[in-house]
Order: sequence, then structure tokens, then C-alpha cells
Amino acid sequence: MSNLPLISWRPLSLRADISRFSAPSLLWVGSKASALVFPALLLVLWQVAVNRHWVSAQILPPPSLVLESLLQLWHSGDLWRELSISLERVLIGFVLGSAAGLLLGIGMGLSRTLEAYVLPSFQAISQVPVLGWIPLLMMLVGIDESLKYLVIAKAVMVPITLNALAGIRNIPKGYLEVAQVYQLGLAQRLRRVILPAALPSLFTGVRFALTKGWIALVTVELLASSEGIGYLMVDGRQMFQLDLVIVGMLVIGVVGLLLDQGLAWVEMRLQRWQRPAF
Amino acid sequence: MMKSRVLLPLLTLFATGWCALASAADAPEVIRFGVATVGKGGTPFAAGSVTGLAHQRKAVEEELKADNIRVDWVFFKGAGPAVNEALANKQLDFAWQGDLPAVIAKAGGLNTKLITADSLLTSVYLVVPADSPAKTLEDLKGKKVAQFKGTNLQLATARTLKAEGLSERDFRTVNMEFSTMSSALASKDIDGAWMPAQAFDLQAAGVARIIYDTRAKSPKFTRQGHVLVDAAFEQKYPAVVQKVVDALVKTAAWATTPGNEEAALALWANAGVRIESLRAEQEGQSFIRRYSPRIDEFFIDRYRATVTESRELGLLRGDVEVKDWVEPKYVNNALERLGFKNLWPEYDANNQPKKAL
Repeated sequence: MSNLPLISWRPLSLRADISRFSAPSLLWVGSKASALVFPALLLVLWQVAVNRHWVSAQILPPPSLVLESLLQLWHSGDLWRELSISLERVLIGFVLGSAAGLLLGIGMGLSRTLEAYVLPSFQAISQVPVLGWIPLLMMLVGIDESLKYLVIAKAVMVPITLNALAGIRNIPKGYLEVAQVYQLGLAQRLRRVILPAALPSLFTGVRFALTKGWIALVTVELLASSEGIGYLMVDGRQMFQLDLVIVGMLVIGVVGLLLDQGLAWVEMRLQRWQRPAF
Repeated sequence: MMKSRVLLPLLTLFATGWCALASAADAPEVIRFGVATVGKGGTPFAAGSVTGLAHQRKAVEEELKADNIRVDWVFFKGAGPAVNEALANKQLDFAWQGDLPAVIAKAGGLNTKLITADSLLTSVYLVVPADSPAKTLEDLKGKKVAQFKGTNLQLATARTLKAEGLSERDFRTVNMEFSTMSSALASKDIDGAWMPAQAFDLQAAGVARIIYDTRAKSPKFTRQGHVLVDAAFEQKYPAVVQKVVDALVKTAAWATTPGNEEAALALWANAGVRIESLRAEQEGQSFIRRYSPRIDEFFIDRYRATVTESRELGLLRGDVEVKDWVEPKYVNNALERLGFKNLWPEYDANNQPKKAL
């Protein structure tokens, strides 16, 4: 995913904006508004494509029909029902995956021996995309919820592990030397030095992982599910109601964005202590 | 600079495409024939339809040889729904498909014409894992039952459930295509599945057991198939449509000639379904009846029922006037001209042959 670098620099630059300008609100509004330009253009293009019959109306339904279906799904409660099922799956998979990822990443960060034994295999395994795991996992654990949890957990675990490891490896030597001078124990070193110093990198990992997990969820729901937002899309496609598919895409996009922005907000709060340093 | 470097070739491409389209007005170079099924493992074969036989016997190619028209066959693992998408994208001229997906597409605004019937009165089988204790539909209530949504099996299944006082909601319905069903039954991930003739394969392999046969209950619980043509194509090339229908009618006549039944089954078996299973599927049915190409009262009534029933089930938006959708003139012409009029009498809505006049 190309948004990895984006995730890591955006909070920094935002922070710089806020500290440098005394009246940042105008700038902020401007930047938010400019983000809407592209979707607006896309919407216009969509409407034009429909009006001019560039694509058949069965494949690309008009925006009005999509909106209508969205509202209908919203009012009937179906949208929330499917979405809550999907969110629950992501949450469980995310918790499992990040717990495993943190353990593994911190473990490798602290022990070069563990890293030497585990990292190459881990990297090899992480090269196999989510889609590649599904057939095997389906045979092993079936098509039930455990399949979804595992697939999401795997997607989540990889970026968290790698970012935790990188975060620890990149801690300035000086910090660790100070810790050594003060003769801090492992627990204290972890709590006072390693975790806070590795936090920015960790958070990059967490945000990236959540995006990955959300994408993995949709993938697995498209393939094997009888409920959830991905299934809503499959159903729409099978029943030749492509407006449902587009509603699903919109919801997935918006929810993914909200999840990411929510985490960005949490990240800003958690890292306040670092601000004076800049 | 960049702009013109991209734009110019694009425009040229457009222009050449346009010219190619314009010059081809009298006869197409190629016709694209979609088939809403695929053989085992994705092989390009279709079991159970005259279209599947015509494909293997190259009957359509033969008919169009003099006009130098090629035939591109496309087999869709995604079955009827995938055929609809291809039709909407103008990637197909003809297609073999089942009743429900075609009705859904027609209601959605796809402009097609039904030109022959192809495989009527087809059953749907409910299979359970071989060691499942389930014996009746009731036993599967609340259990995980697989269905390939949007195919014509879905409606035949829904009809049956309704008649039994049940509905899809009484089960945990999982959507999957047939090859996934087979492995899911083997691994007991699902408690049951609604399947086509492959059900007999699974039963023979000891993987699964058939506990329900919709056709055995009533001919109304069956599903029908047809060949359709893109309406714009039909308007433009009626002579080509006639030749394609001729080829299909000749193939149907060949298959239903006594003695050829086994040969037809053997061709279908190339799709990876055991010949015994294909034979079992025909049991109690006459080949001639099932492969009548006629668009008669029976056919129209069944498609009308498909429209009303799928509307009742909320599967359909809009409405379809079946009378305006069918175009029986090609098949009637072929039956008359080729001398098969008496081979396939017309059937009424209750599946009874009408008296020949």
C-alpha cells in the first residue's frame, strides 16, 4: 500500500503547521476543503458517464440510485446490522493480530538471537498476501468466524511486528546508554525508555495494520461469508444490483477513513510529550 | 507535450475502432456466445444443455462457416450473474442462461430477447454430508445451508421452500458456487447445499447424500434454461440469429433421436460430471421433452411465474412483460423448415401436450 509513507509523515507536518501559525483554522479549513475537490470531480464524471451512456446503467447506476439504496439500507437498519458484524470481526482480528505482533516485534527488538532465528521466516511468510492464505485456511479452520479472525489477524500482525521491531532498533543509542547508567531493570527500561521511544513507529504500524485489517476483512467477506458489508456487495453483484456494490464500496471507504483518522487523533494525544522537543 | 503524446494515439484508436464497427454492419466477423456454467476445474465445457452439445459438435460454427463468421465461446464460472455483467458490457451476443438471472437482468434494463428454450424442468437437489443425520428439510432448520445466489437454482429452491412452509430465513444461508460447495460438504463446513446434477457425483463418491429432489415434488419446482440474444444484435443481424437457432434446433434434434442419448450424455460428461450422474438427472423425464427448443405456453408461463415469484421474494426490482421479451419466430421457423414440428409439440401451462391441429 502506498499510504505507508503518507501515514508516517502527515501527523508530523500537521503538528508543525499548528505550532508555526497562530491562526491555523483557515489553513485547516482550506486543506479539508481541497480534499473534497477530487471526490466532487469524480462525482461529476460519474454523472456525466451515466448521462452520456458511456457505461451501461446496469453496470454503473446513477448516483441518485446509489444514494437511494444507501438511504434505504440505512433506514431499514440493514446497513448498520451488516456493518456492525464487519466491525466486530475487525476488532477481534485486530486485537489478536496486534497482540501477537507486539509480542513478536518487541521480542525480536530486545533479542538479536530471536531476530536471527525468526525474522527471515517471518518476512517470507508475510510475503504471501491475504488472498493466498484463504484457500489453505479454509481447509484448516472452515469458513466460519475463525477464518475471518485469522485472516484479519495475519494482515494486522505483519505491519505491527515490523514497525515494533524498527521502532526499537531506531531508538537513539544515547537513550539506552542513559538507561544503563541508571541501571534500570528490563521492566523499567521497557516502560520508561523503549516503549515511549518506539511509540511513533509503533503507531505508524498500528494505523497501517488497521487499514490492512479492514481490507483483509472485505476480502474474506467477499469470498466466504453470509453476512457483513463485504457480503452485502457479493449479494448485490449476484442479484445484478450494482448500486448495492457501490454503496458497499462507499461505506468501506468511509469507515476505513474514519478508523484511520480516529487512530491519528489518538496518536496525537498519546505523543503530546514529544511536542516540546520540536 | 505529454498531453498530445497520450491523446493522439487514443484518438487514432477510437477512430479505427469506429471505422471497424461501421464497416461490419452487414455481417459480424465473430459472434460471442456466453455459457452460464463451466466444467469441473474451470474447463470450457457445459453439461446438461443443447448449447453445451452444439459447442462440442461445432454446430454453430458449421452453420456460419459459409458467412465466414467465427464463434467465440465464453464459459462463466460466475454462472448467470456473470453472464449478465458481460451482456451489460456488450461483451456477448448470445448466451445460454437460466430463468432467474435473465429475469433479473431484464428487469434491470438489459435489452435481450429469448430465442429458444434450452433445458427445461431441471431439478435442484438438497445434499447433506454423508454422515449427517438430517433426513428432511425440517432437520436442517437453523443450520448452515449453501446456495449459489442469483442463479436459477435460487428461485427453484425458494419455490420449494415456500410450498413446504419454510423460507430461506429458516436456514443460515451461505452463498457459494458449486465447486466450493463440494469441498465445503466434504470438510463438513456446511450442513447442506442446494446443487445441480453434481449432487449425484458427491453421492457416488460417498461424500454426500441427496435428501430432497425438487422436481420429484412438482414440475413447478423446476428451473428452466434458454438461449437469448442481445436485442440490438437481433435487430441488426436477424439472418445470423436464424442460423444460430437452426444450429441449436438441429443439435437438439440430434440429441433426442433415439440411440443418440448416450452420445449426448458422453459429450456432457466432458464437463467433468460422471455420466452416471447425468443419466440419473434424466430419470423419469423424456429427453425429448426436456430439450424441446419451443417457446410455447409452458415456457412463457414458467417465465411469467419466475417474474411474479421473484418479485414476491424481493429478488426483483421493476417488472418484466414476458410476452414482449420472447421472440419465438426464429425457433418456429426452424422447426417448420427443418421438419421437426411434430417432434416437439407445444405444451400448455400445465406441462401437457397440446393437441396437434
